[in-house]
Amino acid sequence: MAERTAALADPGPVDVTSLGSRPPAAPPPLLDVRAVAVSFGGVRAVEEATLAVPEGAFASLIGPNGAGKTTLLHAVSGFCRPSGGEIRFAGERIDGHPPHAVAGRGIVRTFQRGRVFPRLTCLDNVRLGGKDHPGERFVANLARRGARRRREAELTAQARELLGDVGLEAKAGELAGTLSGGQRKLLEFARALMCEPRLVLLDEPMAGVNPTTGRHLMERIAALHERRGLTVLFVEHQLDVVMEMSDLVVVMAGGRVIRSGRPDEVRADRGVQDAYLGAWEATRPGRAGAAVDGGTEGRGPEGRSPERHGEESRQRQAGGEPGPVEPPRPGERDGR
Amino acid sequence: MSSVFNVGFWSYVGVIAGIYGILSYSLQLQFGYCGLLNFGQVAFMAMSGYTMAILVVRLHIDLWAAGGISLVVAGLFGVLMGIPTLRLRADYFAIVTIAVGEIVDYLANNWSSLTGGALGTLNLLGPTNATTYDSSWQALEDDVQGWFAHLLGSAATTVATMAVVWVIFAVVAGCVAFLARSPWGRVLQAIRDDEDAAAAIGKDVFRYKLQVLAVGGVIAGLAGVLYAFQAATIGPSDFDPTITFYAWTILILGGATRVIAVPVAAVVFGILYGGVLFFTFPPFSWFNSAQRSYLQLMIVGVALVVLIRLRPQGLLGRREEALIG
Repeated sequence: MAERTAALADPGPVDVTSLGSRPPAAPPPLLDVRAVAVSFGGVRAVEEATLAVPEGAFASLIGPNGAGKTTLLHAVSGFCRPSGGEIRFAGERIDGHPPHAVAGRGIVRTFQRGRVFPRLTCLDNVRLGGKDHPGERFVANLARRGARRRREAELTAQARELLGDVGLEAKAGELAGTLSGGQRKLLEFARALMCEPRLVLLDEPMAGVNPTTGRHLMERIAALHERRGLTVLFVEHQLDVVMEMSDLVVVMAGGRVIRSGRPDEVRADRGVQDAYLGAWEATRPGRAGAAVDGGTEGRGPEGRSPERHGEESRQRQAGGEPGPVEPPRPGERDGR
Repeated sequence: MSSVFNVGFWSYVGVIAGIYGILSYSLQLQFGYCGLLNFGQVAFMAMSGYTMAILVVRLHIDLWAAGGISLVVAGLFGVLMGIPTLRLRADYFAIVTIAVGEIVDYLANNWSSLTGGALGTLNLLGPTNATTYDSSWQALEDDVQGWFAHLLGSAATTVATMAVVWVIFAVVAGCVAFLARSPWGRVLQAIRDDEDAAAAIGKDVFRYKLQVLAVGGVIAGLAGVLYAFQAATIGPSDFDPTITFYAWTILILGGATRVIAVPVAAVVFGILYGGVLFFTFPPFSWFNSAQRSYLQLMIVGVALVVLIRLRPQGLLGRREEALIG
């Protein structure tokens, strides 16, 4: 994780002679959400939400229930149309595009409940993520049988490899509906990776999974993120995991982004403490006598043992390495 | 008891079971593999049957060419129906399909100048000029009957018709099996299981649904053309909404996602349905023919209820799929 953070923070060698007196321009973020609003009838679920995720980041989106995190994920992935603002991916506007078009551009998402295709085998579930399959187009399926067979063989090999990566190779031939909750989440993640995405949106990957399995799942996701250079944005309530694994933490409350930055910066922010982190901080080791309130709105932060915070993570959080921090935009800080 | 073995009757039952079986394949593709609830599939039968008849009688187009054109029309009708309706939720879409079936039935009955009205295609050229369209079909039947007579000594016309229908049935079964097992069919199954998840990995759900509605329309159209061929003349009463439910019965009897289940279920349905009218032994002999036509529906209904209770996956369906689904 430390290497990843350093890589994200370090823009690499710079030819100073070419810069003059101006600082080097930061690369545009891969995902750029500007003042996005989402309304359902008269209810404004997301208001003026602004965030930016740089390429290669392992970013998290946190906040109390009802903060608008999942709605924002829906808006980014095309499952709901923003009523205002704009969403850019790799510099191009994607707001209002249908989900399949968003996925086609390289944003693939997972769902809170681990939505697999239950009556298909695990292998088929993952193969479905494959791109550019002539067999999936009606006419080419009939006319280009050679190309179809070749692509099918390629995708089958890739799918088996991905199933191996998430530890489900032995389940390849089994119906996905027979998997446990944690296995479904892993399968869903493998399917997302099969789409060769540039950005993966994970909606509460640990929800509904026992803590050990959830931890295991996140470690696998992080390992694949490292290996494939993926950009990940995940919504999660397990704050230990969030603070340990994320390069960038975005905090939402009341439909707005109230802060984004490195985990240590976010944790130190008074507004974030008040809105969300207070209960979690109170339960951390060394806070004797702290009360545990069970999390925000009944399912938020949970007190975790000290060993859950890796040494590497502590160093990173305390070390002050400049992470991929986005400068707060107007309205972010005081938006609540 | 001798009438139980009446070849003419049972081969006619075989013809109708084969045609309804083909209609079931259209539903299998749409519902079994893609999750689309279509309760108006008989409209596609009517559309193609009438199109074929009108092209032959009014425009003097060759029967086989007219049959081909009518299949295309049925497919396009599927697209036309799908464009405004496929974004509806599954239950609302199902309601719309019932309405579409009723609209087509209403048009067939009332647009007399086009369809011949309540008298059907017999009335296409006016009440004083009764007409049929099936001379080429009859010639084919005669040829097939001749081959059977050569092989078996003698054969009824309905046996020849049944043979032709079931050969076509086998071709349709092969096509459906190919499509279902192909990557295209895999996407349909993904949409059936979870269309949001399918969209999230880049599948254009609307396009696939439109395609399956068109392909299903063509298959249902084929059933309609075959029905029209063997009936020599068709009218609105031939495309009663209950026919869609016979096709559904066959699909559920057999198993919604097993291609091989449809012919088995079609035969079982044919025996149950036809037998009630024809069996001359008790308890069937206790009822007169009018009562038996009601008994027919009751027995099929009871058989369905018992089957769903004991084997929800159908006669040949996969139990694990039914449990997961």
